Amino acid sequence: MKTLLFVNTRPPHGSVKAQEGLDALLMGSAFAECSALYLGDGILQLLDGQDTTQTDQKNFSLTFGALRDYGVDQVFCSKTQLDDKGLEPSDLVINVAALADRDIAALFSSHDVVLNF
Amino acid sequence: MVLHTFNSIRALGVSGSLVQEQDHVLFIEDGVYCLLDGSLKLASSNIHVLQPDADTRGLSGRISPEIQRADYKDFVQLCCDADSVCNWF
Repeated sequence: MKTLLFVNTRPPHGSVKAQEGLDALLMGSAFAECSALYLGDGILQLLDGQDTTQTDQKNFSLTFGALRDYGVDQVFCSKTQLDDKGLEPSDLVINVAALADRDIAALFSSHDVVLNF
Repeated sequence: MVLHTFNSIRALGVSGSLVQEQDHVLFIEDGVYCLLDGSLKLASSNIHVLQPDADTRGLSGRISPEIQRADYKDFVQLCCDADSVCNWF
């Protein structure tokens, strides 16, 4: 079976791009073995405590909790970029493996396909 | 007095240095992320954040209490009080 790596670099609510990345990941998980990598502002998608009631947007951060049920067990982010934002893994809605840059680079070669959102 | 609104981190990088001491600054949409790491440096100390946008992004508890919280009514009031409004996006 092919392995897919979904790379997410967009913040969650300013555009539909982040939501589309998550939708694609959920869809892909039905057909292939999928991992997710959050880089840069993409890490902000995972931030705990998002409350969209006043802006009438969808709080899709709640969906990350279902990734395990979809068979997506491997979720990664950049440790350097998490630190740069002054965040800890405990600030995120799910357990994410915070990786050093060289370990992130290894993900690109260990997956058959890399999809960037 | 000029009201500057910033809707992204990129916009602040491009034009944040144009803010004068007497101006007011309002962070909206993805611009609220400028306040996340507490390293903001602006000539003005009249800094506001649009509370609904901060809540949406999970930032309300993570932004310094020195930043004034604005709701949509306050947003309108800030625009009315300003001689002109600069929207940076």
